[in-house]
Order: sequence, then C-alpha cells, then structure tokens
Amino acid sequence: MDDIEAELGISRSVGNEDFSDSSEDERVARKIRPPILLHSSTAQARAKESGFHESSRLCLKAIRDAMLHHHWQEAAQYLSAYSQTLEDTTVNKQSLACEIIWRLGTEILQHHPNSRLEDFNALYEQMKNSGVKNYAKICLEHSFHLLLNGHIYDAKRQLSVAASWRYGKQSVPQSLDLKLIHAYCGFLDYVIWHMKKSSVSEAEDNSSNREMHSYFRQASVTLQEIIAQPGVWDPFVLSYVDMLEFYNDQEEALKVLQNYAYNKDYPSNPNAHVYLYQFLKRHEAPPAKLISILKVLHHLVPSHELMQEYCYLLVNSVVPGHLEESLPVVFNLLDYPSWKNDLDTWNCLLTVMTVFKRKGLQHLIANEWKQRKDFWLTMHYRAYHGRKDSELNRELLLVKAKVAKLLGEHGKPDHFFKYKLLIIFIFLMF
Amino acid sequence: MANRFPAQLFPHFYQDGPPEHRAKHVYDGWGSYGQILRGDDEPAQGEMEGEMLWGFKAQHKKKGEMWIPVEPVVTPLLPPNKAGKIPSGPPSSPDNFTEHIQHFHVHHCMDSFSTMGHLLGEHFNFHKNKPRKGCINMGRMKNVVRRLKYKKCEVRHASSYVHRYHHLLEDVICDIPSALLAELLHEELTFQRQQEQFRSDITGGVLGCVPLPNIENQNEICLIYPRGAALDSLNFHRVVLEFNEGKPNVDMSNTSLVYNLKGTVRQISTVRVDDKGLVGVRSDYSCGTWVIKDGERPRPLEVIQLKEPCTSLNVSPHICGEFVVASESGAAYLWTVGKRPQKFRDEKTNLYFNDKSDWRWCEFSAHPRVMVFADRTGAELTDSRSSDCSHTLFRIGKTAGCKSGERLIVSKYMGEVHPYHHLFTTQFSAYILDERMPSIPALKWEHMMESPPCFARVLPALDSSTSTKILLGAQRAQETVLLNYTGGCEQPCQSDGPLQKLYSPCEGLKHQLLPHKQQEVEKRLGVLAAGLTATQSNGFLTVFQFTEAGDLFSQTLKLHLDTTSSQKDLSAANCDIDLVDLPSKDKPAEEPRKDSIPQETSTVSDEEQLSDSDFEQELRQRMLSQLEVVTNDDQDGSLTSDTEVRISCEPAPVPESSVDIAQNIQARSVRPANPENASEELKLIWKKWLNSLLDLNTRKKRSLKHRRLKTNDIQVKVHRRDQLKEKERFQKLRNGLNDALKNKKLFVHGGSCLPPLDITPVPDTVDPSDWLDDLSQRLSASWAGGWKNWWEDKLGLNRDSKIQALRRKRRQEKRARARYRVALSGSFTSSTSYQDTLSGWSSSTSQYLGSDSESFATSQSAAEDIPLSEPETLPKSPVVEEFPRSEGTACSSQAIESIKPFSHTSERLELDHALPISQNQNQKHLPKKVSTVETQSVLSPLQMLKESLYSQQRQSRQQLQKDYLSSLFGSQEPSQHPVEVHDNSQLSSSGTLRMQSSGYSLAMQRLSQNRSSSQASQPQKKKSRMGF
Repeated sequence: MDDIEAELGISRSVGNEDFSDSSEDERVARKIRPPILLHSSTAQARAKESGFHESSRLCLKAIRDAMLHHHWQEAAQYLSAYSQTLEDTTVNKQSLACEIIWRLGTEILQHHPNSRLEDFNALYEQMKNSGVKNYAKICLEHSFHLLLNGHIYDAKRQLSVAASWRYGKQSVPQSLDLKLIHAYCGFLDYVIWHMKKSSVSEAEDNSSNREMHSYFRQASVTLQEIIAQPGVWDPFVLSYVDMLEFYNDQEEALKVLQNYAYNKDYPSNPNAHVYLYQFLKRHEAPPAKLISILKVLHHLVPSHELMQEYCYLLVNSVVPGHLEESLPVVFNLLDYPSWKNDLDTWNCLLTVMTVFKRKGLQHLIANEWKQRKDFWLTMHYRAYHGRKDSELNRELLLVKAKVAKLLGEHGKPDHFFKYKLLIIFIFLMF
Repeated sequence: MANRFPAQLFPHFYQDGPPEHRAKHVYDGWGSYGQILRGDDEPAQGEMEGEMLWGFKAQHKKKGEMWIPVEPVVTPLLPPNKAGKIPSGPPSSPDNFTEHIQHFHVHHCMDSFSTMGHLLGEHFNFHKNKPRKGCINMGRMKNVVRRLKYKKCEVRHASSYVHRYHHLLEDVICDIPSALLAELLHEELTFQRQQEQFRSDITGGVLGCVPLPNIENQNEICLIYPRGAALDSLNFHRVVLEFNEGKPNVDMSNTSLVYNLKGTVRQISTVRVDDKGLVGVRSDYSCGTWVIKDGERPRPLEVIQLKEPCTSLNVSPHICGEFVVASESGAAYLWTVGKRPQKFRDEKTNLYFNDKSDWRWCEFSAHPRVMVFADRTGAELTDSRSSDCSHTLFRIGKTAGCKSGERLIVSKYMGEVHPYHHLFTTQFSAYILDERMPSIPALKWEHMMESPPCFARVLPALDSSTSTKILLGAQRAQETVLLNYTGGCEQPCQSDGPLQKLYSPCEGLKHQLLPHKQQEVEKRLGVLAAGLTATQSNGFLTVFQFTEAGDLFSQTLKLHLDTTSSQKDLSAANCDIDLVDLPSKDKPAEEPRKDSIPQETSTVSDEEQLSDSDFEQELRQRMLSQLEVVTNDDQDGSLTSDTEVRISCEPAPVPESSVDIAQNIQARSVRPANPENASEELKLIWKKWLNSLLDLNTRKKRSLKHRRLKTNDIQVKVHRRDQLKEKERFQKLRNGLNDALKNKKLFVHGGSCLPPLDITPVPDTVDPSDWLDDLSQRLSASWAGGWKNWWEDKLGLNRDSKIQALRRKRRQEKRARARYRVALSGSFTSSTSYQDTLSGWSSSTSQYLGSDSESFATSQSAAEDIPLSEPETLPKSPVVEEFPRSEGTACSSQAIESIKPFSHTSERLELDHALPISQNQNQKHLPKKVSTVETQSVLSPLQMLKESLYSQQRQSRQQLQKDYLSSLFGSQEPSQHPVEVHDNSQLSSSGTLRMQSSGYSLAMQRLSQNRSSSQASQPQKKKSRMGF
C-alpha cells in the first residue's frame, strides 16, 4: 500500500507542476500533504508483480476470507502454505510477511480447536526472532498471552528478558513498546508484591518481608518512569499509590495523583480526579479541598456521578458562594438524558430548589430555567413521560411534579399544563 | 448505571502530533491483545502450580459471542427494482468530454442552440423547393440533420459544405461557449470518476428501520428505503419478523406506503424517541422529516431547502422533532420542527488540518444541546447555546494511533447503546470514544475492510452478559462486518471476539445461468451498497442490506448458545456421521494420535502441526461439499476427547477455554460455508428473483437504430410462377430422397425428376497413320518409346551404320550365293524386308540369330525375345563395344548400389540368363565374332540406357566406330579374346541388373510391339519354327 501512496504522491506532484499561478508555499504544501486513502485501488501495484508474489497475495486473500468468516481450520491450511513468503528476497516484503504470519498465526491459534500453549510459545518465539522489528511488540503480546492463561511468573520472565533487549536503532513505535514492557514489568512486580503482602501479613517473616520490599523497589522505579509519560496509566498509578500508601508515603502519593490529574500534558482523564478525590477522602481532607477537586471534575465532566456528591457538598458548605454554585451543577446533571430517570438526582434538585427558595434565591432558579426551558419541557415533561413514570416509578413522578410546581412559578403556568393534568388524572385513579 | 465511568482504563500513550505510522497491510486487527488490565476480582481461589490466578483482562478478548449465519447467502426481500440503475461499463474518462459535448449538441439541440438558432433562423431557408430572397438555402443540410438520428457510418465521407458552415458558425451558434462547456464538463467528469470510487454523499446510508411496538407478540419493524430509477420514491414498509422453530422469516407481504420526492434520497436517519419514530430524509439540497406514530400511517412533518448541498442529517434521540443538518459550506444547523433552523456553527476550513474536503457531518451527543461537528480530520463537540464553546472529541493524530493518510469516514452517536459513546470509522479502523474522556479511544478495532466503511449500525446488548454489536458497511464490494464489544460503564470497553464478515449480495446464489445472463446478474448484484440496518430479537440478528440499484436483501444470524446444549448436539451429530460419513477406516487410527498430541513436547511450529491431520480432514471435506457440515462434526467429535483429556490434566486455568473450544466446535459445525448449501426455499426465492431480474432486463434493451437503405429496386424481380415450380420440384426431390433412405435403395438420377444430364461423347481413337506431319509422327514414336531413334533417323545420325549394315548384307548375300546354300533365312530376309528401311538391318540380325544360334532363339524367354526382335535396338550396336569397358570402370559400383533392392528379382533374371550364358560358353566353338554380337544383342536395352547416360561421349563416335570395326574384323586376334570374355563375365551380372531396372520400359515396348509390330515378330517365329 505504501507503494501506491508513493505513486499517488508522485502523480500529484507532477500534476502540480501545471499550476504555474499557485504560490510556492501552496505547492510545497500540496506535495507534502499525504494523499487521502479513502479508497485503495491496488490494480496499479499488481501490474508488475511476479508469479510468486501473485500467488502469495492470493493465498493471503484466501486466509483473510477464511478468517473473516471464522473458518479457522481452512485458514490454518492456507497459512501453512503462506509461510513460503518468508523466503521472499525483498527485505520489505519479508519483514511484512513476518508480521502478517505472526498476527494471523496467533489469531488462528486462538480459535483453532486443537491449539495448545506450547504452540503459542513456539510461534511467538519464532516470530520474535525472524521479524526483529517487531521483537518488543511480540514479546509484549506473548507475555499478555501467558498472563491471561495464568502464568504470571512466565510472563514476568518474558518481560524482563525483553526489557533488557537491545538491537540497533530503536524506532519510535518500538521504543514505546519497550516503555510499555518496562511498565508492565513493574506492574507485575507490584502484583507479586501484593500477593506477598497478603501472605506476609499473616506470618511475620523477615526474609519474605525483605523479598517483598525488593519487589516494591523494582516496581516503584519502573512505575514512576511510566507515570512520568503523558498518557492514561490508571492501573499503574493505582498500584503505585497503593504501594506508597502501604509504606506511609502519603505526600509522594498525593504528588503523583495531583500530577496525574492536573498536568496539562496529560489527557483529561476523569479517573485521575476521581482517584485524587478518593485519596483525599480516605485521608479525611477538608470539604473545601474536595470541593475544589470536584469543581474541576464538574468542568470536565458535568455528567459525572460524583456531581450529586458535589452538589450536597456545596449545599452543606459554609463557604459563601458555594451554595449558589450548586444549582447549575444539578441542573446540568439533569440536562443529560441519561440522568433523566434517576430519582436521586431529581431529589437532589428538589432539595436544592427548596433550599434556594427558603433562602430567597429564586432569581437564580429562574435564570437556570430560562436557559433550559426549550428542551426541558419536551425532554422531561411530556405527557408521555408522565404516563411512563406512573407505570415504572411513581415516586419519580411525584418528585418531578414537585419540581415542576417550583419551576412553574417562574414560567408561564401553561407550560406544565398537560403534565399537571395528567398527574391529577393519575392521582385520581389511584 | 449508564452514567458510571470505568474505574480503570487500559493504559494508553498520549502523544501529540500528526500520525507517522504508515499502513503496510490490513491485518493489524488480528493476533493482538492490545493492552491488559487487572480485573477487579481478587486473586482466584487457591494456588495452582505455585502461581496465583489473577483476573487479567485484555482489551481485545479472543473468545466472544458467536453469531452464526443461518443461511450461507443473503435473501432478496423485494422483487428487483424495475428501474434500478446499473453502471454501464467503466466510468467514462474525463478526457472523453468531447463525446459528451457531441451528445449534448445532438440530443439536446434545443438547449444548446435554441437562442442563436432563433436569431439566425430568418437568414436560413430549409425548404428545398421554395427559395426565398435574402436567405441562404440550406436544403441539403436537412439530410445531414436527419441522418443524425441514426448510428453513423464510420466511413462516411465528410461533406464539404457542412464543414464550411461549421467553420463559419462554430463560435457563434452555441448558446454556451464551447470552451466553457468543455471545461465544466471535464471538471464534472473528473468528479464523477472520484464518485465512482467513493461516494461521500451517501454516507449514513439510505436504509432506515424503526421498530414498531409489539402487538400480539409480533415483531414488527418499519423499513424505510427509496426506490425507483433515481431512488426518489420513499417507501415505508411494515415488515413482520417471525422466528418460527428457530427459522427466522421476514414477512414483506404488506404493501408499502410510497412518497414520491423531487430528488434522490441520499440519507435516511431514523430514531425512536419516546413513543414516536422519527425519520429524517436527506436529499442534495433539501431535507424532509416524517413521523411514525404507533398505529398510524407515517406522516410528513416538514421540509427545508438549503442553498448548499447538504451532507448530513441526523435525528435527535433525546428530543422529539429535533434534527441537525450540516452542509458542504461548513454550516451546521439545529432544526426543530416548526422553527427556523438555527445555525450554530460555520466552519469554512477543516478542523485540524487542511484536507480540502467538503464533507461535514453533524451528530447529537449525550447532551441535547451539544453537538458533534465532524469532518475528515476529526470531530469536535460544539455547544449550540454558545458560539465559541467547543472542544476536541476525536482527531486524526498520534494519540488515537492513527496511520498516515487516515481520514474520518463516518461518525455515529451510539445513544441507544451507551449515552456517552460515539463511533468513528476511518479507512483502517473503527473507534469508540467516550465523550467524557475525549481524544483517547475507549476501544479501537482494525476493521480490515478493503474499502472505507460509511454505514454503521449499532445494536445494544440485550442484557449485561451479552455484547453490543456494531455493524459496519462499505460501499464497494458491499462489505459488511460485525464487531462485538462489552463494557463501557463500569468496566472498560473490551472487544469481544474476532470480527466477522457477513455475506454480501454480490456473493449471492447464482444458478447455472448462461454467461451473458450471469454477467447481467453479476453487474446488478455488484453495484455499490447504499445502506445497512439491522434488528435483533430472540437471539436472532437480522441484517438488511440495500444496494444502489434499489434492491433489498437480508440475512439472519443466530446467536450461538451455551455449551451444554452444544455438547448434546455434538453427540447427536456424531451419531449422524457414523451413518453418513465415508469409510471410517482412518478414524480409529486418528484418535489415538490425537490423544498422544498433548504429551508431545512441541518444538515444531504450529503450521506444521496444524497442517497434518486437519489437512486431510479438510481435503476430504472439500470433496464432499454436500456433507461438509457433517464431516466437520466428525473431526470435532474426535477432538472433544482431546479437550477432555486436557481438562483433566490442567484443572483450574483452562476450563473457560475448553468451554470456548466446545463452543467453537459447535459453532463451526453449524456455520454454513458453501453457498450451495443454502436451503431449498432460499434457492427457490433466488431463482424467482433472478428470473424476474432477467425478464426486466430483456424488456429494457434499447439502442440507437441503424439507418436502413431500401435496396428493392436493385434486386431482380423473380417470377412467382417459376418460384412455385421450383418449390414443387424440390419437394418432390426431397420426397424421393426420403423414400430412398427408407427403403435403403439407391437414389439414381433417372428416378428423380431432375432434367436429364448432358452426355459428353467419348472421343474417337486416334490412328497415328492419319497424322503424317512431323510432330505427330514424333509423338507417336515417342509414345512407342522410340523417340531417340526417330530423331537419329530424322537427323541422319545413323546413316553410316546403315550403310555399314547394307554393305554387310550384300556381303552375306554374296557369301551365301557363293556357297550355294539356300537357307530358310533367305526367305526371312525377303519376308521382313518389306517393312521399312530399317528392316534390312533387323533382318540381318535375325538372320544371324537364325543362322548361328537357332536353338537359342527358340528357347529364349519372351522378355529377351522382344529386344532381339526389336528393330530399333539394333542400330545401337556400334556403341556396344565401349559399354563393357565403361561398365567396368565408372558405372558399375554406382549402378549396383542403386539396384540392390531389386537383387532378388535380379537373381531370377540371372537364372533366366544363366541359360544363354552357358549356351554362350557352349557355343565357344562358334566363330568369335558371333558370340560377341550375340552378347551385344542381349544387352541391347542396356545400350539404350547407357546411351543416355554417356551421351557426351558421342562426339568420339568416329573413333568408336573405328574401334568397332576393328573389333569386328580383328576379332580373330588372340590378344583381344581374354579381355572380351572377362568383360562379358563382368557384364553378366550388372547387365542383367540393368535390364531389370529398365523393366518398365520393356513392358511398354512389349505392349507397343504387341500392337503395332506383331506382324513383324509373329511371322518371324513362325518361320523359325517352320525352319525346324
């Protein structure tokens, strides 16, 4: 496929020569821009292929078809024939064939009725060394396979062997894979540490304790390393924090969590904030601190399930201004159709609204209502919703009715007219 | 529950920057676990082999739900679309725009010339017979115009006057300047060619499906699809799905409700909100909406018209009657029915980098007022309430692990499955993104399709244990792929099993058809796919596929159920095999081997291992394609024992996999492989469908007519009466022939009524004596074989020898007179002398014969008799002398060589000769010269040959004659004698051979002799007899 790209690129640049009036920059830009591969036509590439390449291409196609239709045994036969491609003299094609055979081979083994772990091992080992370019990736997959089949120590061994592997210049994806290998190595250290911990707690043994610490040291070093990279590292962060907490290094743990949550280089991960919140909550931090964390989370994910908690925290907060913030939070939550049948949220809204009413902050309610009027009515207060709520959750219907009553004070009364009529009708029936 | 966010996500790198990785192959989707995560559950029960079993889970689960197609082919649901478009041949090249312009000018002349035509019209006169003043007569032009209707003859001569007018008016006459038209046309054709490869305007698909509420436990849906030639009549079709005894049935018997629209339907978007089904229909410049209320007919709501082409229309899943529309100019509108569309975004450029694409897409998101705005480079979440609030949801880049050149093809809000999930597809992958955590894909598949998927359909999991299903469809090759995944709420998303390719209409069942029909059918079925939808119930998944030709197909997949039943089925299947399967001789041999496999330490690669036993099995399976399913079972049956063995030796970790294996086995046993295995009913349906398709096509054929020239006046008129007679006669002849055939008789000419044949008389025999001119004589002489002699006579070459002979004759006469011996031979001479001039010479020889060796002459065989009696041979005797000599020197070896094959006949001849030779020897007492002459006479035919061979020696004739004379007269010299004898003995063999080789000419001579010179020989014989 890369050949076609090259060809397309060439033809494009050739075509661009004709545009004499286009500026130099634009022309350069056009040349650099990779052609869109919305459709891949391979007919051009096939014109010059040799018989060997043609037959191997057809064989590959047959394997593909068989695999896509889940005819694994048929695919296995074809694959045994396809292994000839490894003898291709062009380096590119050979390394490509290595990767393809590895991928297809493992997939077929996964589904083939009489495949065994030994087969997997043999395949992984062979492909690792024949396609050196994919060494790290295959090692990683191999250890995953061992892990999923319960061979944690074998997997650990695989990973540590791979971690010390050096070969020529590392490509970017390979260096990423090596980083992951290190990370998983540390993660498995943590898992073993965790197992040791649970066994040690029962019998106080110095030597096993020492062993456990050595695992901790190994794990902490590698986990620290990976956590420093921008990315999503939920399991690694959690395990690192777990170990730090065990050794009573709360400050370090907090630092790690804060970095994970607030570092701009990292993706906005709601879990990072949740972990921080849970950590602080575990260590009985003051509500103001919790509120500040949840405020950020609210900004990122207004529909998060912690928002109810946030709302209650705000309502109960003594800090001035916090109460006012609570109303948009709960209103925002109910903007999301996924929350619309949640009784607790409606209760929360009712509570907040009654508090506001009591404190004479009705203008804030009116303000929020004005923003949502157009879609809240069709989303929450259609006759259909009333009917459905009466069937499924009558409590919800009641709460919604109460909210509607409070909201009705701010809008035209006929907004809820149908809904109210329905409620009255329903209550008359029962 | 749906609002929960997974407690832990799979590790993922977050990198900035454009993608660098290049796509090298399309197999990335296989053989990878992706990432791994520790499950929530604590370490499993107890220790196993010193290792704790931890609940790890991979991003790509290998064993998942199995959906098995019920039939190996799709089922056509509707009769073929009567006016369905089929692309005629390959797309026309942009360089062919001239053809299109020509077509436009010829067939749409009013559009291309009307204005200028009106202006110029008054100056031209097209009436042939009515010349007008001040006008140019164009009478002849009428013919040219009239002929345009027909297929043009390629070798037609160009009329000069047409050319002249063309040059004169070319720039003026067209309403649209040709240069402009050509440019625009070229552009359009280029665009159309691109469209042929990928059509972005039908993204989303033109097939919609709204589930209708269950009444009386009936599964009803409303299918919405366009039909007609331009796909411009919208059909609402109530479809009942029945699942009787595990066999699904799609009942299309209800008639559909049709709305005729003004434009081609490009996209149909359907959603069920609360209690209504809402349908949005997008055409190029307009969008319409319909509502389907329970128990009511579909009702149109509103239509809007846009200034720019519209690229996307989606229905809100949250609020009834809300739509988002995106147009090519980059504007996005929120359209609430009954209100003016409200523009919330206007993006002139592409989002993240310049892709120069006009395609824009808009979708809803979890929040009713936040929309997804997407183009080829990525997607953003835009709040429609404020103009500047938007953030990235997905972008082509390193973070999502995109490949270079990757582009967004379609995005879909998966509201019915998960409130926060969005599906994005590119040429290479399908991504699920959680809008709560943008940019990082929650799950990514490499879909491995050959063409980019632009239709997507999502089906929710029926309960927590089952998986969510995603169907992706591509236009080209009608590829459809089924993906399963689980999680998204509390658990992170995990793909569930490998992706599966569904059957496509173009792989449909083809009965044995004639090649041209087959081609038609293939063309029809192979058009681009135009839509995809699906519905599920009771463990069945029904997928509907729509093609651009307006045909609708469906296929049903069955969820493969639990293991216990499969085990039962398996044993049942095993019983079947024993009945059906081929010689189970190899079965017992196979089983122990399989059992022994687990004990082997495998160092061999898997390919080797897999290839041995299975290969045979599969081969057998292929051969018995009818029994395919059953043979499969056989193999699996033997495998179950294997898996059981393994379960016992590896207790804890594998049970799951063994269950999977059993499941897999069962699944394979059910999975149909060959389209030929389709059920009879389905085959019948296909047959009907194909027949009606072919009927349609035969009716539809039309093309430009050929122009016909009348040639009646050229043909010679045939009289009818003659024709009748002729006919009758042929009839009679045919009858006669039939009779002859029946009775096995000869059919002779006389028996027929045919006119008598002309008899050509045989020419009279030619009498050579009638022809006295030189040529005739020569010819008759050469016919008789005496061509040479005739010439010699004619030229007088043998005059000397004649004189000699005469002299000799006289001498003999003198001698005879002197001895007073009156012999019978004297009477011979007198009797033969009357013949001709030569007779004198021949009579002399016969005299010799008669006188010297009479006994010999009588005992001669006829063959030798002839040359002796041949009068012409003798004159050659002068050459005889040289003959033995040359024989000995030059010719002998060659001649003998050449005649070897005849040696046996030559022996016979030799025997014949033995007598004369012995006689010769007996007659040695006779005077020497006589003997020599005799041998010469025997060899006379040879001389003839020799003569021709050594004709060049003739110039030394005089010398030879001298020699001859000397031999004649000096023969008594003793020195010459031994040489002679020697020569003769040599000659006897080779000479006879000669004779034999000239046997043919001898025979000829004999014939001629019999005919013409019988008179000469017979009296000779008589007389010689008379002499004794």
